[in-house]
Parts: sequence; structure tokens; C-alpha cells
Amino acid sequence: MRFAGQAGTAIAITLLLSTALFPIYWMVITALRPKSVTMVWPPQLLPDLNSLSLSTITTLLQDGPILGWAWNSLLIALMTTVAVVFVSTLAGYALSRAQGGAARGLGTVILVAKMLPSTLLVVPLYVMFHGAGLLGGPFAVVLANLAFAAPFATWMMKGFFDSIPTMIEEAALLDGCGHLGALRRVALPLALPGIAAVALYAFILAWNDFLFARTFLPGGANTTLTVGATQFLSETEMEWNRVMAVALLATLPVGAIFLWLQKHFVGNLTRGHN
Amino acid sequence: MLTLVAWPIWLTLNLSLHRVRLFDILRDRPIAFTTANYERLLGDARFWESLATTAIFVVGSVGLAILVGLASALLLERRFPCRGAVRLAVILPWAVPATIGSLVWMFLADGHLGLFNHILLSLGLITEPIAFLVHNEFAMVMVILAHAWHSYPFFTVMLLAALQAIPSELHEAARVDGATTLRRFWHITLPALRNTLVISGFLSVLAAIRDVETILVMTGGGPGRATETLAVRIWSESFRFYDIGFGAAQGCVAFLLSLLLMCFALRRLMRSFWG
Repeated sequence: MRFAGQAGTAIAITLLLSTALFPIYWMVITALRPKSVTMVWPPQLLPDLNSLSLSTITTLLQDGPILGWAWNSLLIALMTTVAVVFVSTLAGYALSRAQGGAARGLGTVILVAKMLPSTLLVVPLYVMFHGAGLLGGPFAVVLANLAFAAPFATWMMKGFFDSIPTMIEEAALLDGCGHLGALRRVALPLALPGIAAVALYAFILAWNDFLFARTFLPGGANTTLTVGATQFLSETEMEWNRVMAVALLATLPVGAIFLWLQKHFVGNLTRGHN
Repeated sequence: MLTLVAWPIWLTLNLSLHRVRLFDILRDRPIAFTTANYERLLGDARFWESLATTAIFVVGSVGLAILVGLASALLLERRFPCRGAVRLAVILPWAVPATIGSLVWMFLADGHLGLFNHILLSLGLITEPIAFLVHNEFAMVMVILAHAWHSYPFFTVMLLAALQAIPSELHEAARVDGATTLRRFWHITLPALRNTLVISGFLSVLAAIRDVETILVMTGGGPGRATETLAVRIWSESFRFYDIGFGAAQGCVAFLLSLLLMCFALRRLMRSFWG
């Protein structure tokens, strides 16, 4: 009975693991295979280790538009991160320290804004960016990402500031610090872990963004990696090894951050480990 | 001081970046023109079809994600070797950008070189390859699978955390009293998970309603309009057919629908926000 239970668990875990990992495995393995293997039926599940190489990726990096796409992605993600951190820190601090009904009302507004689907933002933002002459440039995507990420980031920052006792700041105020000084010298250093979390959230969101970049950027050479990867599909006539190579490149930064930080943002996962 | 200064700035910024713009668009256009959009909308069979498609997509993908998430959380809570590594591996789909995940699933479902066909063929379940994404019924199944694959780790993480908060004494007491595994799951585990299930389920439903990436990349709403959800339709109406007014009108309807859902869950969420 006990043995049967354990065997059942083992089978279930194997099933689960293959569901989770197989698509990722297939992406990596396809990206590392030459075209002569990936374009042939039937597909080979297990790779011939000798035929694996980085050649697809290096060729793409040399003569494709990939580097430009990656640069756009990076630029947009970094600018979004800075903007989101700036806005959400100030707003989160203000929300955390303010009292009364107005603060509650504003909190509700954030919460509602957080739940607004990004599709709904796209149309009005398009019109506004058109009016402001921002269409086609990275700033349009950055602003859209900011609009989408700021509410949740503010919510996160509010939580972090809530955990910092106001007494410390009051002491700074008594010693002659202004409000901004108290924020800069006392609250901000204490909230650094929160700021790091918000920065990561913003970076990942902006890096993964498809909709805004697809809508506000002209496409072709001037777009981001995530959008570029999908364009590539039609351009290369289903050369899957090249498509998967771009996909792999687009996954790597976020995947690396995820693995690096897994202990922090999925802390529950390893708790109770024995 | 800071509150007084930063607040209005922030309020303006936040409001201007969000809800207000929806109404700005409507204000920019003559009112008669706006109502024309809505009249067209109500009489448009495609609109109702896309609502139905949205419902199928949302229920299918979120339902599947909850099932897989719950099963994986229950499974991963047990003790077995390398548990930490297995847990990490199971939530790894989370780390793949949604767009990229969709591309990989497209490849798997491909009619010429796709692995699904290979597996089904070698198992003898089908006799000739199926181009999954070009078939009305299969295309929907595929986008649901791809979306569920990407979104179940969220449930795994949330539910695992909730599971670990259940005191083990409860289960032991029930076991002593002779409760079967199923009864213990039904009377102890499930009630303890209810709050987490409701909140994360609600967030996922909203995410699925607004999902454009998966569908736009995999099928573009097709074949025909088989996978054209409301979000995809708003996008293609505005940016493929350039009818921004009509797109915005549908956006407002979608907003109202989301708002209804929000009101349903807002109280609970507000409590966790201010609690």
C-alpha cells in the first residue's frame, strides 16, 4: 500500500515535470540544432550531442536584426524600471504616511487601475501618443509600461513603507530634517529591498511586454525581442531552429533573474525543505 | 508637506495614465458618432461571438490552470527527494515570457514538424498529421493549453503557501477519527485554500480576459474568428482595421465587464490591501 502510494507520487511528479519542462527543453534543443535536423520528419526527441552547437545563435547575432531588437528591449526595460521606481516610491510613501478617507479613496483608485486590462489602455494611449508625437519611439512603450506597472508597484511600495516605523522619521524631523530629507535619508535606505523588488517587477514586465511594443513601434528592425521573435516566424518561413534561437535569447535574461532570485520571490517553495 | 505635494501630482499622473483616457477618446468624438458605435456593437453578431469565445477561453484556461496548480501544489507538499529542485522546475514556465511560450507551443502544434503530431501518430491515435492551429476546434484547445501552461505556476506557488499554513494537527486529528483522504481533502484542505483560490483565481480570470499575447501570436484570432476573444478583437478592430472609435466602444464594454468582476472581488481585495 505504502509502496503503491510512493510509486503513484513518483509517476505523478514525472508527469508534472515533463509538462513543465518539456516545452522549455524543446525550445533549447531546437535552438541548438542545425536546420538539417529540425526541418526533418519525424522529429528526434533526444539530441545527437555531437550535432548541438551555438552556430544558429551566432549567425543570427552576426547578420540578423537581433542585436538591435535586444538593444531596444534592454533600453525600454531599463527606462521603464527607473520610471516605475521613481513614481511608485513617491506614491507608495505618500500613501503609506497619509491618513484618512482621501488616502483610502486613492488606494481604491490604484486597486481599480491595477485591474484594468492592458488592452483597454492601448487604444487611448495610442491616440494620446499620436497627439504627443511619441508614436514609433521607445518613450511611447516606456510610458505605456509605466502606466501599466505603476499601480501594482505603488501597492508593493506602500506595503514596504508600512513596515518601517514612522518614529524613526519623526526623530529625523525633530533633528531638523525636512520631509524630503527624512524620506531620502531615513525611509529610502530602509526600503531598499522593496525598491529592488519593484525594480525587478518593472524590468521583467517591460522585457516581456508584447502588446505595447507591437502597437507603438513600427516593427521591422525597430522593435523589441519579443515582437521580433514573432515577426521572424513569417520571415523565415518556419525555420524553427532560428525562431527558437531568438526565443531562447528573449527568455535568457528573465530566466536568469528568475533562477537567481527564486529563493526570494518564491520563498514559500523552499520553506519546510528537509 | 510631501503628502500634499506628491499626492496631487501622483493622482494626476495615475488617473491620466489610466481610466480617464478611455473617456477622453469618447469626448473627442461627436456624441452621435459614439452612440453609433454602440448601436453597431449591440447589433453586431461578431461582438456576441467574441464574448462567447472569451468565456470559453477564460473558463478553459483558468480552469485548467487551477486544476494543474492545485494538483501540483498537493503533490509538491509531500516529502520526496530533491523536493526543492522539483518545486523550482515545476514553476519554471513562469520564467518564460508569454509571447515566447506561445511560439514554443506553436512549434509543438505545427502541422508539418510538430511534436504533438509525431506523438499522436506513433501512438496510433491519428492516421495523418493534423494542422492543429488551422482547425477551428483544435486552435481553441491549443491556445487554452498554451495559456494554462504559462499561468498554472502562479496557482502552484499561491496554493503551496496556503497548504503549508494548514496546521498538521488538523489532518492528524481527522485521521485518528477515521476520515478518509478524500474526506480530509474536502473538509480540511479545500476550506483552508478557499480564500487563496478565490483571490488568485480572480486575478487569473482578469489576466485571461486581457490576454492578447497568446492568441495574437498563435492564431491572430483565427482560423476565421475561432479564437477571437474580446481583447483580441479590440486590438484588431483598432490597429488592423483602424476603427479606433469602434475598438474603444468595445473597450468600454470590456471595461464594464471587468468592473463588474472587480466589484465582486473588491471587498475581499480591499481587506488584504488595508489589512
